[in-house]
Order: sequence, then structure tokens, then C-alpha cells
Amino acid sequence: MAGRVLRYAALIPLSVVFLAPLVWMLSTSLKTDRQLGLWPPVWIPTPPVWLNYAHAWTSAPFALYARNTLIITATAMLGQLLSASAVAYGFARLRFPGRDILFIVVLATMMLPGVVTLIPTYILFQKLGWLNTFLPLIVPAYFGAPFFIFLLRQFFRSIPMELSEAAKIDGASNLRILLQLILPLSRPALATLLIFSFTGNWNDFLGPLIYLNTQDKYTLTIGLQVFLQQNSTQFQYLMAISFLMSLPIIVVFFFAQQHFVRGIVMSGIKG
Amino acid sequence: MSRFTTRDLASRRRLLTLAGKLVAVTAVVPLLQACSGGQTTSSSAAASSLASGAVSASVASSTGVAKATGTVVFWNPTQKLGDMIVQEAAKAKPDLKLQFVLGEYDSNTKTMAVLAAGNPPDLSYLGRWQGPDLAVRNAIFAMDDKIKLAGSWKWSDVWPRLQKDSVQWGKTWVIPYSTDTRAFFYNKTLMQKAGLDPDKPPTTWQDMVAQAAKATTKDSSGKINIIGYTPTFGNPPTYLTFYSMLWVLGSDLVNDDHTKVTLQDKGAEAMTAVKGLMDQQGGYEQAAAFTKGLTMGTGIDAFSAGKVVFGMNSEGVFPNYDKYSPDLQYGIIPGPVYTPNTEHLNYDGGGGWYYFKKAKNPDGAWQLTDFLMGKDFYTNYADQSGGIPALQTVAQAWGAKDKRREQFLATAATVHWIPIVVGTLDMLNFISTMWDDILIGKKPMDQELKTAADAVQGILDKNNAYPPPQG
Amino acid sequence: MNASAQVIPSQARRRRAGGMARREAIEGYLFILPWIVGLIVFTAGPFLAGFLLSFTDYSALQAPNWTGLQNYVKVFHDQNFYLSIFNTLYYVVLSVPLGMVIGFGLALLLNQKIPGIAFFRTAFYMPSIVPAVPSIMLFLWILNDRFGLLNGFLSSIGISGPDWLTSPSWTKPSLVIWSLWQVGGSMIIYLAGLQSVPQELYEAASIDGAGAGRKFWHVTIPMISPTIFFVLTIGIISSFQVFTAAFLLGSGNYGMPGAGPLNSLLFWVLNIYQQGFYFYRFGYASALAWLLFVVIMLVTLVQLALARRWVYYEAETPGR
Repeated sequence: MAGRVLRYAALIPLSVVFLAPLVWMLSTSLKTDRQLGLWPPVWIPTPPVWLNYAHAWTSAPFALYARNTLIITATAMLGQLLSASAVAYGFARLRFPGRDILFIVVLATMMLPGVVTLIPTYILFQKLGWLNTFLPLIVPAYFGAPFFIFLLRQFFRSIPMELSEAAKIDGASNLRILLQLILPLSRPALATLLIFSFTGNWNDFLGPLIYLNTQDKYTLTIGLQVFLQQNSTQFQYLMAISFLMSLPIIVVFFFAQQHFVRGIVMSGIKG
Repeated sequence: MSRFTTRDLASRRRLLTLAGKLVAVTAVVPLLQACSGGQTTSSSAAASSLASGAVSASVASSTGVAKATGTVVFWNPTQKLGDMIVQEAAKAKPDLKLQFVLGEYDSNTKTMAVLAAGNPPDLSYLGRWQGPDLAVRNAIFAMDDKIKLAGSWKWSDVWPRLQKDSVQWGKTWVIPYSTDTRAFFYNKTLMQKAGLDPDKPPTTWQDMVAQAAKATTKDSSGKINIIGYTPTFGNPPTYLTFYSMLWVLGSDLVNDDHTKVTLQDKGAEAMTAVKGLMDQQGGYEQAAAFTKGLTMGTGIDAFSAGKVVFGMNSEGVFPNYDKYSPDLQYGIIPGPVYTPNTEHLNYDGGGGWYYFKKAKNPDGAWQLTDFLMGKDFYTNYADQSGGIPALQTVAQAWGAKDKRREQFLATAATVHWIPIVVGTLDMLNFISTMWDDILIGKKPMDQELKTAADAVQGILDKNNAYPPPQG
Repeated sequence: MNASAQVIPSQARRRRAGGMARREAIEGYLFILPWIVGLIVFTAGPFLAGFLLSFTDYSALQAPNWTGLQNYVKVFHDQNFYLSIFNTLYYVVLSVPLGMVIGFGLALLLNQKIPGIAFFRTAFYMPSIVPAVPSIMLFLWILNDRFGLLNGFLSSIGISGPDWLTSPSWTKPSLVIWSLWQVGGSMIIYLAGLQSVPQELYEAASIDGAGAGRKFWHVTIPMISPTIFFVLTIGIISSFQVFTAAFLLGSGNYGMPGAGPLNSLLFWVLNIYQQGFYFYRFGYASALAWLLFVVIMLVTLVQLALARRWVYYEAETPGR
């Protein structure tokens, strides 16, 4: 009992610190111009201007942008899930010559700063004719992102090999083992992948900026630019849309973290 | 289906070699393309289709954005302004097909990517310092011939100093579209509290230093409560104040034809003046720490928070003070002069339109320019964008709309700017280092000035070593 | 060597075992095929291009000219290069251990099914999803020397806080604090790892009479060592490439991301970005990038070698 109280005693102040940016965003979005200029800044605007959200939303075709962002995010997420699972399985549970070297290559692709490959990659996509399409933002996801491969590989390698062997004796193929044994046992890892993948794709700015040229293709992050003028940023609207953009991520997170469920029951393995 | 006997080691090696070749082609081809600048020779086109044929279905030969139907593609860093251009042009020039792509101003990422790939827009609004760098790298057209054909405007109407800034190697590389000046903002309430006359703001540097020192207040522990004037707040930011000081002292960073560095003439006096100002208010570091983090955005800053008595800022700021801090009691006058000189403390800025060589529709680009420079649209645009128009007549119309705009317009004819050469940003970097070293690092002033001067001379020499670009 | 007439059972077994190994190897390659294809199509080309460009004077606007090792020689004569190495190492050494410890600590706190746990988990992840603009605004205010909450809090407990944002000695620690705000990401990964430890192991340890401490060091830590290794490796790889955060503390001018007072925030990748995208020295930037690659690779290889000692994989049986 005392342990629990201590836990809350630590969690509550910490969460105040971590929630501050989100609250700040919400708070700014509900302010009038005058309240925005107050010093010191107030945290709770009185009265809150909920109308800012309506004005912000109608400042640009955000429904369209949201749809675009959703399409890109969902498709890329699916790709990352599929490809990372398969590739990680290969690295984690199968033996083949050069496996460890190849895995180092996987890691190596994360070690060159993206700024340097940005232009050659852009040229590559231009040659493929993929400019002003969603393809540069989606297709690479189907070929295994090193971060997710590494993540899943660590988790897959934590599952005892005896389980696989037992399944093999039962005549299961590697694919079946992956789908029906490994993945179900890796729900926390998959939930983590979903969270990171969703966040990364949903909030991506540089990719859409460089590859999407016409307004009908814009994503929400690009859409935010409408509020930024060299000399007069519309802060409240910027924050309002930013806040709305955070909501789906919060929803996905809530849903995904339910799968951080303890207790992989593996009776009959050890002894 | 045995594949890994020694016999097949050989085939594995063959597989690896093929992969290596594929990689090489996939890598080399873009380089070749970049080499020939987007014009595909038949051999590299063949190589290109060999590689991409192996890896993807559609190898589009089109280079991306603009089709050959006469659409003019233009970039502007502000979404609202780009939209406005499209909408207004549709009414005034319905036969002109436009496509607006969100560009950039403070970064070069997207611009360099499209230039490297060979599919730039027809015209793009970028900072006016970019000209020489783009010109010597063969990326932009010289516009002198086109300017002679200008319909709705005249080159002679452009501010003379902007005309000068846009010309290097005897050619014009940018159509200037906006310029800035800085004026002196003073907080009347704080002045009164300090026992100063709010209707008599300082008009000379010496006066300003005295009043700033008087108005600076500290708390019991010696930390600043309110600061008089600090270059760590406002615009020009920090080290750019060095340039401003040289100008008010009647000097400049380099000479008129950009062949010799001159900062060493008045450099020591400039830095000493700044140092003197700062020491009277608690020191540079304290002032910097005081103001950093208080600027939440344009118009929501240390001045509107009532923490700074005097500040220099551009014409884009005061509409925001009105918007966010309507109760702020302040005034605006041109910057102080440094007696016995007559030049006001000031600083320029702004952007213009560049015309890329590999673009599809240069004629359309010029038609759009004609529209952009037309008085009606231009005045509208300037109202929205917050910069001073580059055309004097339009600027007068802009200034007439608001008395405070006049304060900024008053110095628009004489304001100076950084020397625009190849390696301008390099030059800025050296001055920034010098400034920090003297004021924060407490390094000896003479040595720092000399290092900076030598570096600047080096850049000038490099700039002048370039053969005049073709344009 | 042996009498070929005899069918030796061990040979047959070996052939069968060899056949199985071959099958497994083929399947292994098939499973990683997507990554291999992606490597060839999307990654290898730009990587190779970046490497080749480091031997040229490429400015991105014109054709590159071969300059051989000139860029690399220039790098070693560049004062800013050595400064950037120092700044980067400082940041890595400070942010990685702190981030790991705090992330792990938070994960332990959140590793329970107590009421409201979902709320707290979400709360700690929030800074990682809030866009940069509002976060930076808030952060800069909090760290302001005079009016910020951090120094206000410190002075209330009698400490005179430093000039976080403007003193050259404190800008990097400020950036580390910023990075700690983003610790929610590694927290989730640790959480996933903790949740993957089978309950029975704890039960078995209890039966053996182990207390909470022993359970922690002898069950939890070994079982999540793969996760720890992940966070460590990724942490090192990404912190060596720190750069965007410097936008927030440096004073940018003409868009050039500033490197902070006295260039205290001039990190390796920031230097690359400046050289490439603002000074048009792309070839030089590529050389800097490849040198960074080599450094990160060496550090990671050391990590991998050391990992054999302390990382425990359940699936690792001898020979696997």
C-alpha cells in the first residue's frame, strides 16, 4: 500500500512536467490575441475561445490533408509491420551464412546522416517518376526500416528456440511459426512498433515538404504552414490544429499500450 | 534445390557482382544526370532505363513538376501569399496557368534538391543574398534583357540601393521584391518610470546609452529587472548589430566595389561602443540571458512584456504589438545617429524573385512577374506580407496607409545591408564568431578584428576570382 | 577418403542435417529479402553517391569534379571540425546514460496495473508527439535565466541557476534536458521489454526464496538485456547525429541554423548541414558525414562485441 502511494507521489509531479507541452498547446489555442500577449503567460485562458478551432479548421482544406495523412500513415504502418516482422524473424531465428554481417549492415544504414543522402534520394525518386505522389513516403516502408528490424529482432530473439522447435516437429513452416507463434507472443513489441510507426509517419514534415508539390496532396504537417507568415503567425490556429493532430496519436497510443500485457505463459518449457 | 555447394559459391559471387553493378548503376546514373544537368544523353538514358527497369516499373522521363502545357510553377515560402498570388492572378490574367508550391526562405533543402535533380520551378522567392552563389553555379538567369521589356513597372522605380544590390558582374540576378528597415521602438511607460521624458526619446547613440543606463533596473540580488537597450533583443539580432554600428560610424564592412575589407577602420570603435553600452547595464552575458526565451513570436517578445525599454525592430513587428498587446504604450522613430555622423542605426533585409535556368517556362515566369510588380497587386501583397515594397512608388503608397509605416519608410532610401557576394553566409559566420569571441569569450578585440578582417578579405578574393557567370 | 561403398549413417545424418541447414539458410534469405531489395533499390545508391561525392567539389548545383582526398585533408585542418567532435561527444556521453537510466526508471514505475496507469503512460509519451514549435517555445521560456520556471524552482531551494540558454558552458546541458523530455520513447520500449518477461520466472525465483532485489538483478535485467542493448545502441547512433534540436537553441540568421554562443552547439551533423546546404560545399559535407559514419560504426562494433558478455537471448543456443 505504501508502495502504491509512493508510486503516485512520484508519478503525479512527473506527469505534470511531461504534460506541460500538450497543456501549453491547448492553452495557447484557446486564447484571444490579447491574452496571447500577456506577460507572464497565463496557463488557463478565461474565457477559452473554442471558436478558434472552428476558424483554424476552415483556414485550409484540413479534412483533405487529414485524409492524405491518414492514407500515408496507415499504408506505411502496414508496410513497416509486415516487412519488419519478416526480416526480423530471419535475423532472429534463422541461421544463414553472413547473417551477422548483414545485420551489421542493417545497423550501418542508420549511421549515415540523412542530410547527405537527401539529395541523391530525391534524385532517385525523381528518376522513378514518384515526385508529387505518396510513393516515396510509403513504398520504402515495405522494405524494412532498420529501426524496426532491430527492435523486433531483439524481441524475437528473446523467445526460447524450443518453442519453434516444438512447432517444427509438429510440421509447422517458418511462416506459420512467425504468424502463429512468434507474433502473438510479441504483442508488446508490435504495439511499440505501431506507436512509433504511427507517430513517425503522422508527424513527418520533411518528407512531405520535399516530395509533395500540389495542395491536393498536402499532409497535415504541411497544412500547418498556412498559419505561418513571415511577420504574423496565427498562433492560436497553429496550436489548435497541432492539438487536433495530437489526438489520433493519443488514441493510437492508448489502444496500443493495452497490449503491454504481462505474462507470456509458456508452461511446460522449463522443466 | 541445393544452392550452397562450392559450385554455387561461384554463382553467389556472380549474384553479388550483379548486385554490385546494380548498385553502381543506380548510384552512378543519378550522378551522371546531375553532371549533365538534367539533359539526358542517349547513353545515360539507356543506362538509366537499364537500372530502373530492373527495379521499378515506371521510369517517367518527365522531370516532375511542370508539364509542357505552359503552367508557370512558382515557389513562395508563405502559404497564404502564394495562394493570394494564384487567386489574384486568376482574375487579372486568366490565361496564365499558375501552380504554387510551398517553398522555403530560411532553409535551402528543397531548393538544392530540385536544382540538383534538374527540375526547379520557373521562379522562386528567396532571400536577396542568394544571387551570387546561385549565379556562379549556373543556376539562374541574368534578367537584364527581360527587365527592358517590363510592362507594368520600371527598373528605375526600384530603390537605387536595391538596384545596386541586385547587380554583380554587371548583370542583374534577382528582381527585388521586398526590403526592410529597422526603427527604434521605445516604451513610454517604462521611460516615465525611469524619470525620462516619454515624448523625447533619444535620437543619438550617446543619448540612448545614457537613457538606457538610467532605465535599467536591477533587483536586490543584482539581477536585471528591466533592461534599457540590448542587441540580444530585437532585430538586427546580436552580431548583425556590428554591421549597423559600422554604418552609423560612417564606415562599412567592405568597400564599395567589394574588393577590400574595411571593417578594421571603425571595427574597434564599433565594438567598444557596444561593449560600453552593455557594461553599463550589467554586462552582455546577463543581458543575453535576460532576453533569451522571452520571444514567443513576432510581436510577443521582451518588449511587449515590458522588460525592454528600447529596441530596434523591423516594420513587420508593430502590427503584432497592436494585435497582441493593445495596451502597450510605445512609440517609433528612426534609429539613433552616432554624432557627429548622420546615418540612422538601421539594417536591411528582404527577398526577391530568382529565375532558374532549367525551368520549363521562363516566358511565363516573366508574365507572372509583370503581374506581381503591378501597383494594385503589389500594394495588396505588401499589406499582407509585412515588408517594404521594392518599387518606390508602391512603397510610398504602402507608407501612406499608416503613419508608423512612414517611420520605416523614412530610411528606406539609405539603409545598408550585408555585402552580397559569393560566400555571404560564410562571411556572416566569421562576424558572428568574432562578436561572440569578443563579448562572451572576452578575447582581445584587436586580434579578433584582424582575424575577421582577414577572413572577409579571403572571401572577397574568392568572390572576385570567379569569372563573370553567363546568366 | 572412406570406402565409398559403405553408406555411413553419420554421413547420411550429416547430409540430412546439411539439407536442413541449407533449407533454413534459403528461408533465412527469403525472409530478409524485402530488406535486401530495399537496400539495393533505395539505400545503396544514395549511400554510394554520398561516398563518391566526398571525393569531389560537388555543390549540388553543378556537376561534381574529382578532387581526390582534398576534402578529407581539409577536414583535418578545420578547427570547427574538432570543436564539433568535442561538442558531439559531450552530448553523447551526457545524454545517453541519463536517458537510459531515466527511461528505465519511468518504465519500472509504470510497469504495474494500477488505476490510471494508462493515463500516466500516455502523459510521459506526450512530449515526443507534440510538434516542435510549441514545445520549443515553452522550453525556452522554462529555461530563461531570469523568468523561467527552472531557475525559479532552483532558487526556491537555494540554488542560483545558470544561464541555461546563453552561457556557452550550459547550452549543451540544456539540450540534454530537452532530450530527457523526449524520454517517453525509450520508456515505451523498456516497458514492452519488461512486459515480455514471463511471469513464471518470477514465480520460480520466489519459490527459490529470492527477494525483490535478487529478482530484479537475476531475472529482470538479464531478460530485458536485449531491450537495454537496443536502447543503448540506438541511443548512441542517434545522439551522435544530434542536430535538429540545435535549431532551438542556436540563434539562426538567414535561416542558417545557429551553433549557439561561441559555437557551443556546433555538432557534427549541424556542421555537415551548414557546409552542405548553406555554404554549397556538398562534397566536403559528404566527407564529414562519412567520417562520422566510421566513428559510429566503430563504436557500435565495440558495443556488439561487448554485448556477447552481458546480453542474454533466450533463443541463443550454442551455435546460433
